[in-house]
Amino acid sequence: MTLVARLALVVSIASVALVIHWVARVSHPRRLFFIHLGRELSDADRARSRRLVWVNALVSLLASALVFVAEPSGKLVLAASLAPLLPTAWMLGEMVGLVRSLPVERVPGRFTVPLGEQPSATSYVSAPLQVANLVLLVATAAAFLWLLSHMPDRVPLHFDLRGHANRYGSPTGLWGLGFIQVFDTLLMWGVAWGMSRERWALPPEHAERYAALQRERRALMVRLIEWLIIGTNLSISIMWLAIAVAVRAARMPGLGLALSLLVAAGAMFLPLVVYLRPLMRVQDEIRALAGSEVLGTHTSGWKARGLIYFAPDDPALLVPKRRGIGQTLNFGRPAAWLILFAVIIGAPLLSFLATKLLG
Amino acid sequence: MATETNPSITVDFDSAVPVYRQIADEIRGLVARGELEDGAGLPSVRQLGSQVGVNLNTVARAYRTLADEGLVELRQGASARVRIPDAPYRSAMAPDDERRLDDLISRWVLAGADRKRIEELIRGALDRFFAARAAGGADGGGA
Repeated sequence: MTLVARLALVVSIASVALVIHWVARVSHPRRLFFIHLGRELSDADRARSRRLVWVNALVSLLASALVFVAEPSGKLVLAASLAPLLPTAWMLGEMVGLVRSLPVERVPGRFTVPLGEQPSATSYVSAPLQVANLVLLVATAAAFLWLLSHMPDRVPLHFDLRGHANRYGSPTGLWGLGFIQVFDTLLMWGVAWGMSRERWALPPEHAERYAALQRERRALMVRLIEWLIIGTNLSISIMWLAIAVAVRAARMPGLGLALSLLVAAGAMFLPLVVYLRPLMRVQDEIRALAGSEVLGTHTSGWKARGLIYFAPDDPALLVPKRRGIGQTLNFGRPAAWLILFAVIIGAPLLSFLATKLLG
Repeated sequence: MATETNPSITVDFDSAVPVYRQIADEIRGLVARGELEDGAGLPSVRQLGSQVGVNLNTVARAYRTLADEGLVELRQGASARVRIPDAPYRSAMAPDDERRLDDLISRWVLAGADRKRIEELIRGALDRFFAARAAGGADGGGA
């Protein structure tokens, strides 16, 4: 295992640890793990935060050390790369436990809706970011097409941790990475569309200010997703071309893969750091003005302490989340299950189809 | 583009008044205040149902109520339209109007309001209504 590969693995472990640390630490007097408690943090809450911060730091340090000291035997390195799953699961467990302990308030039933059209999905997206993403996708595909024309029919496609090729195949299978980028892009457009479909329900007393806040919330959410997806796509492009260049020369892709991991780590962390805080601020004001973060939804639809929305009598397919940011599906509608299914199997299915059709 | 400056309606799921009636009352109010003019298109029942969060039958019932009053024109395969009748508005003197006013006064009195307070409430409502009507571009009229 090369030094570059070890470094890349440590960078990805560290980036997950950073995100968890950032979520776990106490940064707001009334919010823990980005969940609004509706009260001041107690000593028990602070202890919960400290515990997770320590577990996270300890596990990621141990895992990083393991990557450097372990012989490149598969099992130890595998254990180190899977180690971040422990603090991640711990964090999710803490979040669910916290939400379950919070009271679920009634959603105010009185709201105003305009009779005219709502702002469209295109009013939330950023034109320069959309163009940049499309240029990236087309340029990467074009570069790969050129590389493909200079490659043999069979190339090494998979390497063990010592750098020996252990699977060979047609390089056209690498188109699968492009299909994942297309899927990512569709997902990004889906989020913008989904935000624009949310009910435009306004509290009658503060309609104008609230409408401005909702527009800001939706635009911030779409911008966050745009940066996440473009960063992910950039990472995939680097990986895709690095693999193509390396297999053309029948060697293991090293530096390119490490760079791709680094970009992926940045793509995950930076947009969260930039956009989460303003999103939270906007949501706090939304909650204060309307008495709820989910004005326009049916109180009876919120199940499992407000974690799940199941309202067959509500035509809405997407509603704002009751806890945290973004949206959740109305599982009382069959279309919600279809969307969930499509999102879960979409990327693997597209990738598989691409390999079958082109490979 | 949308927006809060467009004609809008307010519903209250916590109210005892059925939602279809709230929708009909709100649209009638918009027409009376001049915020919806003669010939203005209304959202489709599906669209308004989705915006309010109710079944499309609820919106259809609200539109039918307004159509029965002669205030809305329902057209097959097209969106409903506001229709301000030339003849005196059919439900201007609906038989239960006096009863509804009496009921309103009874509830205010039971809530502790005296005659002066009730006069204030009615005057305030009239002021709000005609101010909105003047802002909506319609003839302000006089109270």
